[in-house]
Amino acid sequence: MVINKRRGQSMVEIIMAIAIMTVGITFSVSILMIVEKGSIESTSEMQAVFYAEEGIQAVISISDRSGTAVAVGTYGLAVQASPAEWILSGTSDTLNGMTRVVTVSTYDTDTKKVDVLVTWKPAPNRTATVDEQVLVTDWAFL
Amino acid sequence: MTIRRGFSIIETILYVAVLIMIMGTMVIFLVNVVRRESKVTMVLEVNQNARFAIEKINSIIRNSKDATVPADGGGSGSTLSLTMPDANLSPTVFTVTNGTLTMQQGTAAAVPLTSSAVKVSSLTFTNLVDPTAHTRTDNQWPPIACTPQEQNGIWYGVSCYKSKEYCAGILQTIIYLLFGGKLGPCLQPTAAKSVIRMGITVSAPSSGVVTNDYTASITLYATATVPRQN
Repeated sequence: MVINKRRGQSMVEIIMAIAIMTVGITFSVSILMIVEKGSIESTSEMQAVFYAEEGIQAVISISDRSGTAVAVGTYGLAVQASPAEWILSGTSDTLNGMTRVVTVSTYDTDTKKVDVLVTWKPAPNRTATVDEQVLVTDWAFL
Repeated sequence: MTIRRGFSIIETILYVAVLIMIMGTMVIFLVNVVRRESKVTMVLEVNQNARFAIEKINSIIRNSKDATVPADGGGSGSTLSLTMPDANLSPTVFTVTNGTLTMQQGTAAAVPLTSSAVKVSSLTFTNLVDPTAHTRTDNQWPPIACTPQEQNGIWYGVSCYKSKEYCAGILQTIIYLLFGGKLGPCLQPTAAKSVIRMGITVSAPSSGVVTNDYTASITLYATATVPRQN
């Protein structure tokens, strides 16, 4: 009976072990990178959500002043110096690479549907959007 | 049958070399994990603080009676002072002290709204209401001219601020019947007392953070209106 008693590992086994470990580490690092990218992108996403929400509140404040000021069309928002107030101006406004477009359409006789769309590029080849809507009623015409 | 005990020097050197390689990789990997983990934690901490701060201020503005600082008509500054319906909470003041956003209600001590792990590097409030340009008066007296209009059998004043809530009523109808619809105590809603636009920038302090190559920072904007009925 021939006993071939080899203790320890052969070179092939070691190489195999290193290869498996490398694959494992690469995999974990790429997962970490995705998590990291996601958390950084969540920053711009949160900024976009607040930017859109501010658009909604600004339009409500304009409608509050005068219902007729919110007419059908596509606008941007701006802060007017005198009198100091939110106004609809231009066709869009931008903040830190984000574009905000306010679209006003007719909902019914006294009510307008306001759509605030914020668009930005989290990466050069991707476009992300946040869209919020609100109905504003012109109480003066009821 | 050959029995070899122990390792040859070559084998030992080989094992040590392999071990160093593996250990080195592991250390680099772990350092990487820790750095990225701290970066993610930092980003989340900064985001959460900014979000909490702005939503807290937002909800307090919506429950306030009026904003006294900054002044109406475009006043702006880093301090917001609100009159609250509850006298004990008046004034409610938001400001930044040494990089921390604080809220002081009435005579109580100021409480921090952001954690010590982050720094509020900028805070601005602008009061976007022009008191002269858009004043409407509540309970207008003497009555202003009103041309009531019938809708579903109820008469509404229409030439003043034409809201069912404010202009409708039996009184309106009686006055219309008596005076032919030319006079009416129209109740007009006042313009919003204050429209506050705020911007806050929260960042992570550079010291005490593992990652030196990246500083988490977020700027959020919001607009909140002090309701006229408060």
